[in-house]
Amino acid sequence: MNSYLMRRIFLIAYCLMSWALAMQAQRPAGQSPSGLPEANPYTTAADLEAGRKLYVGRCGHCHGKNGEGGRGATLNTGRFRYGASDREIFLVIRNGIPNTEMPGAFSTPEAEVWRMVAYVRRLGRQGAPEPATGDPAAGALVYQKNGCASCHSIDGKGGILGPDLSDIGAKRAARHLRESIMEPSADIPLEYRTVEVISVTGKSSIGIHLNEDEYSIHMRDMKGDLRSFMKSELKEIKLPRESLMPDYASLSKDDLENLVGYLVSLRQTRRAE
Amino acid sequence: MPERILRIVSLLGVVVLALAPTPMGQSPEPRGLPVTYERLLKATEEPGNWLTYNGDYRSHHYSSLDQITAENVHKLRGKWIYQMHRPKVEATPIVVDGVMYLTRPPSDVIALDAETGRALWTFEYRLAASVYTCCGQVNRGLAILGETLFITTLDAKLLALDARSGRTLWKKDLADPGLNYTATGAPLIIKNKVIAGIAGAEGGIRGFLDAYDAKTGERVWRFWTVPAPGEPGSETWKGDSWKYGGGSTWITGSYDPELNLVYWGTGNPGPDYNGDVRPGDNLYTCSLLALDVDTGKLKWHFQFTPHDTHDWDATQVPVLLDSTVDGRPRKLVVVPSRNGFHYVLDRVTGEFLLAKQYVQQTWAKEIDKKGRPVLNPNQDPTYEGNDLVWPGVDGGNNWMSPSYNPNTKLLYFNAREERRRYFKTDAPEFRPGEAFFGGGGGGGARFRPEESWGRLIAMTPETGEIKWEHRILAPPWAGTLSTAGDLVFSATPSGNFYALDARTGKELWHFNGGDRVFASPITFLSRDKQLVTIPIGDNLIAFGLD
Repeated sequence: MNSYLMRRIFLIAYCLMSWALAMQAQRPAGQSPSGLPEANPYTTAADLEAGRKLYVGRCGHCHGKNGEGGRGATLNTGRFRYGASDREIFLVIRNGIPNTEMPGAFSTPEAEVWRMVAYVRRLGRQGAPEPATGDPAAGALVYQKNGCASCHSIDGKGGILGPDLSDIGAKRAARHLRESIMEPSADIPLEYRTVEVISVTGKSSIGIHLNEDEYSIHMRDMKGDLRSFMKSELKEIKLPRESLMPDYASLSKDDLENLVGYLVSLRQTRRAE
Repeated sequence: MPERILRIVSLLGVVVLALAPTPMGQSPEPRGLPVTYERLLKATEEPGNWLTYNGDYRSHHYSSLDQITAENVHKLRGKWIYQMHRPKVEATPIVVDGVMYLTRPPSDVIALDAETGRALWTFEYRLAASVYTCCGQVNRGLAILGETLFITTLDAKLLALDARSGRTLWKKDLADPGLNYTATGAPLIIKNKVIAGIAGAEGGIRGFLDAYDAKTGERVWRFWTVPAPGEPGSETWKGDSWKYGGGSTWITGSYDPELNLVYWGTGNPGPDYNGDVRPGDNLYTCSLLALDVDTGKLKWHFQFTPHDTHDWDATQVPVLLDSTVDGRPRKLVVVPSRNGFHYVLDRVTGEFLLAKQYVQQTWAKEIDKKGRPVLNPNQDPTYEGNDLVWPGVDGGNNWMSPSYNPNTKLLYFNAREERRRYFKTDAPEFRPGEAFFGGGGGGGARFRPEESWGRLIAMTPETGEIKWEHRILAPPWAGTLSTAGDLVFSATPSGNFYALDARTGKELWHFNGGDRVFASPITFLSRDKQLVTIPIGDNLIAFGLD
């Protein structure tokens, strides 16, 4: 048998064997998300109580102890943006929400996730204790009049120095939005921290902190330009706890509530992906 | 496709392969084999190689190579990159006369030509089943004896591979992965035994340390790190809590041939954050064990964190050194523990000699004269979350290799400064394939990045005195390497691999590798030229001089 023929036989045999082994290896092991039940199997009073304790430690920090929202979305309105079925809520808790601050509870036992689902659904039946009462249309004018769009954008229109507000109503509770307007430094998103660098010649540059390592630091400056600095060329780096956003504590009560009402109304519809 | 047909097709492939006159990949000529036990005992006499996980049995992670020095390190440049295409590479390779043996997640082994970084053979391991892991599908390295490599696998097997070809010689079960047992650490060869640890204390396992016959794979002894009822130490557990008591052994230990003792750290008790169901000290979790190598019998133990509720495994590398303490020559073992204190013990008896705080910590008022912590109040996890506790869940130190330099007589290691929010939940039920935490060490807290940072510490190990330190931006996951060239190498979470002057801490060189580092650097000779390697992200990068 010549070596060419031998190599061909060898190659065919190798491919067949690899394919066969791969077929065997691809059999599912364990439960896949699609195998989850639609209805929560953990709904007894004891499950609810266990779910409450789990929720308080894991979720209450952002979503509020009673689901009233805060940095995290409100959970006491019964509206769940990523699906309201037990299974959909389970998957949001388990996997988190990509490109948001919502982490996944990847290593949490399944039973514990289901118990949190039970408690979150209970929260959802409470009804929001503090609904936004302002007039969204009037609030849009307040937004316009105060130049919010110079830093914030909605549906692609506006500035880039501050957070995109296109979907802010689904992400933040009214209480948190009110606080952010009156006292912007109270809770600054990590990706919108202020940084000021002062060069060895004394020149100051201020902007939004984008990245940093031991040798360099990077920002989006007040004009929206991307800037990079070598630390060896800087005299000082300041990371002030103050937001670059000015406070709007001088707004009238009506303007404030209308603005909050407008922001709460900003909810993009859930995308099909 | 029916299973029977699949089996027939597989068998056909095997038969044709066996009859083929020329194998597809010719095995490289063996170079530098066998690696005998005598060579391992004298590993420091072969500085051109890196024969064990920590470089030698004392775990000094030090090299007497001195081609790369404080004077010329600025000329260091990349020589080659081996890309693994796997997340979270934590492996420390071994090097034998020009061949590097490296593991790749989850449990693969690759032999590389150490000069070029080209693969000589690849052993790709298929996990037998899905495996619950707390912290990623990682593997930290392997061991060699004779012409055989030994690796533990994520699905809790111990494999012996032919170092010349990567072919499997034998395979043994360490434990049942279906019960959440897993294995991630590099084995340690002592005499004709393979010492192998286990992981899975976040999944409700009962930990152990095993010794296997290197030739046959038969188990020689097992030491359970959580005693059964009636055994010494069982009085520190309540009810059935010992059955899921944890006490993993997932980082490679050290060995003193004169004392015939192997030193090995143990991990957290389970459930991690809810200690209510396991009142007591929970021996031998969060401890250092000294075991007789021949019998596996416990000679002594020292528990760093009794009744741990913060996941502060004592799986740090124990460093052995001989020194004088209070005018008396001592055989010492030193451990900068994850709980934030640096410990000095007599390694003959386990006698506690000293503990000194090296990072911010809030949980202990002090360590008393017997080595037991005097606790501060309000430091346990709570249902609502307790965010006042330092250090964080990943500890002041962790599994990364420290380095002891006999010339400077300094211990170099990375310290992690951070606090975390600790919360607990009701004690979980044990379920195969699921976590057994009873809480967590994160839970939605948002700390500003500048509230946590890292320090490479140069410490006089006998006293805990810090000689100098090098601050880095974030808590690191890299080990350290010190050399006779008066250098210390380490890396940052931002991906910077750097070299410091070992005597002053002055930074001399750095390279941005562009990804997080979860590994320890090593050094060796390739064609008589010194190379330094470290995995940065999933790239193993070799650096050398021109």
